[in-house]
Amino acid sequence: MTTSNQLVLASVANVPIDDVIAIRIEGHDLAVYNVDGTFYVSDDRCNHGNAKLSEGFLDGDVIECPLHGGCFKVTNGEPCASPVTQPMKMYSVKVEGGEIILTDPSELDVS
Amino acid sequence: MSTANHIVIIGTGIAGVSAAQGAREVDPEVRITLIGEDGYPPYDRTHLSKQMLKPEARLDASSLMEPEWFDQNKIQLESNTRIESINTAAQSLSTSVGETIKYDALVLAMGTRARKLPVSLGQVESTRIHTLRTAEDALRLQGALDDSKRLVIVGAGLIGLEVAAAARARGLKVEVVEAGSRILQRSCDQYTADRIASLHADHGVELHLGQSIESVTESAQGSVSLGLSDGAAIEADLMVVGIGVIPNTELAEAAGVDVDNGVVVDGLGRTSVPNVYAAGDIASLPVPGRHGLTRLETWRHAQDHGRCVGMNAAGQENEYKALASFWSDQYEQRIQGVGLIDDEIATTLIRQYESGAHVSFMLDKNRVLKAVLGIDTAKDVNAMGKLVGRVIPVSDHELKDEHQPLVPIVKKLLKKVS
Repeated sequence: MTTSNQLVLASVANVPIDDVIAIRIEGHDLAVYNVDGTFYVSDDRCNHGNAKLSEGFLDGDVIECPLHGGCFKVTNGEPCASPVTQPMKMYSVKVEGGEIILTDPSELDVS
Repeated sequence: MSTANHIVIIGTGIAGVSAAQGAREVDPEVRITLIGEDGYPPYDRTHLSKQMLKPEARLDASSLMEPEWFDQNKIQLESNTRIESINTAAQSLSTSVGETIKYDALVLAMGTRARKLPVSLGQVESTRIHTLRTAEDALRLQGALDDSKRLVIVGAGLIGLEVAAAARARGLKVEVVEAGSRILQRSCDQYTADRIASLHADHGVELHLGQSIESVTESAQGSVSLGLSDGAAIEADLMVVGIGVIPNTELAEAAGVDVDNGVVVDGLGRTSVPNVYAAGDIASLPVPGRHGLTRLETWRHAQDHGRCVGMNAAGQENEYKALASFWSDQYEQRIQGVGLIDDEIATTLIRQYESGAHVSFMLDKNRVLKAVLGIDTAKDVNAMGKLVGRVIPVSDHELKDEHQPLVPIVKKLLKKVS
């Protein structure tokens, strides 16, 4: 689903408030967060261990990795509790017509 | 800021490395020395029974930290130094080459070693018999798996079963002998254990439950034979023994540090001797909701306890409160759990999803959540794990109903108590 070079990631209705879901788009696994109605998107796989952040616990704007307990701010990807030390890759998104849209799909290519 | 000038940590597993990390977080200046004896840079032990048993897996993919991390954090890594003794009066260590290392704070993080079969059983020192605890063990086992067709595993705990899964993936015939009446007795509830047992059976693993080992013999043809208590015998090219671990307390004991199935520590990780701490699976510690002292043997505990104790060695006074938790990967499935299973559990409730995934909730007679466990339900287990140790004022029906998402239920309860 491409709209003028933009990728639709998910419907707003499919991401419960204060929660995170996993999506797969063009071969990339992403985590979509709903923080009080504002949406953020990061890579799903934790940059520290073999775990999916979408299976973690979202507390406010902090996601806790389900395996080792490391935490990231989902607003900017910055690590905020050990053992993680590197920021998560985040993606630019906007909401239009009830859908969460990746505004710059070329971000998917840079890993 | 700490009062210590030199923090020395013995042990380069996740507890030791996390202690170094915690100490450095607290004090940017204190000198930190991390001492190991096996010559390897710190590696992730959880890989040894999983990734490292794949053909051609390399140990450097299992490093705990990037090599430059130690320099960047000014942590002096001595990975080839054996400590012979601790002099707690002089606050110094003697190395095997006669050097003396002075410390202001010492963290014991020497961990555990694999328990072996008793020699009374026969030829238990055979080169075909392996245990799995160290990088050397994993490299040796990896090579042996290449050359073997039949594997027998003694002990149906997490390590034994992870090895079984890895060996089946490589096409070996695998049999597992367990003395208990079921698998995963210490870590899983009956339902979860039954599902894991079926998973292994589906993958062709033959389980022998309630069987103790009567004899171990090595034949001239180069195989090992296990005599079982029911009179049967199992022939194999290779044997892995996964029957638990023994804490490496000898150094501490010789130095006069109190030991009780592990180095005894208080909630801050302090031993009976001033300025000596212990962290990770060597430590016997008070655990909320449990009587006496407990030794915890999970990676997550070693990480969290290590960090907490490292911070305390650098001058802080943090009470250790983290909950016990574990994970295990077998075939494509991931088992996760939070809390400890003990005989106070009165009720176990199961939430079963259509996909086959499930969550087990274990409650005591006062409806306090003791443990939560699941297969491929990491999200539920992590959310519900936040409530371990608390009374759960939610009906059995609501917990079991897979159509009611668990995360919002947990969040509501967390809001209520905070």
